Amino acid sequence: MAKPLLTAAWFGLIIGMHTLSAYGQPVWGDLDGRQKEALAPLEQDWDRMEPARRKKWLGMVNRHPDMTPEKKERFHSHVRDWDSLTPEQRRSARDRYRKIDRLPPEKRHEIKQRWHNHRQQITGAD
Amino acid sequence: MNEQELGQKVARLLNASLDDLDQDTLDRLKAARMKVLESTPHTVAAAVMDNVHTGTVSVLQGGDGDDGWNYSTRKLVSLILLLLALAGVFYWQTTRFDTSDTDEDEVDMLLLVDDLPVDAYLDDEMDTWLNHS
Repeated sequence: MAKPLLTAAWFGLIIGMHTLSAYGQPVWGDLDGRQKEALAPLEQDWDRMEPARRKKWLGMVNRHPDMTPEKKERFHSHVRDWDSLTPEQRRSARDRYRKIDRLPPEKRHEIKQRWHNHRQQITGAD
Repeated sequence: MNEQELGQKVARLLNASLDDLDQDTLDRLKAARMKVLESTPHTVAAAVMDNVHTGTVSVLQGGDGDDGWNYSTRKLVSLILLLLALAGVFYWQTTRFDTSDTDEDEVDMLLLVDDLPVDAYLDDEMDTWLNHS
């Protein structure tokens, strides 16, 4: 009787520690300069953000320390939109990105151009 | 004589006659008590016996033939299991919306530094163009 209970207790302890480590994600004031610069558009929401999301953003930023200025600018302009999406919308966006990414460069360019034209038509009609 | 005085008088009479009970009656009372406790779930019986404690029998020492796993240890383990269950629920709540999938993070990053805005990848028209390409 004691053995299964002790095994369950260990299992729970491990989950508990993992939970605490996820929960212990840094607040905005604890980020270093590079992280703050990369995640600047999220500053207002950062301390209220769920720990798992904070962890995810930090993981992404830490894996790409040397972004070109152009990519940094794009990242900044997209980051808030991305953060406001639902998990389903993110999944859908990733699927489309993967499909487009698998296309030959000229096809990829064509689709992107079509989207720009489509967007212009919509904004022009408003 | 009011109700309270009557109750006190009855209690005095019962206590006075307690010493007059013969051994056979005491044995039968004890047997009846044990019979009731045996038909009661073990943890309840243990808790009752912990408080009532007859002086000759302690049900805390088993009663359903267990392996010495005593009541306070069980309580402790139950508490640990409850805390674990709560930690599990909390963990699920904090991680359910996203996973720490490295491949997924990589795609997210590429998408975020792409020349198309995020909106473009939510546009259903994309699927039509993709299907025709």
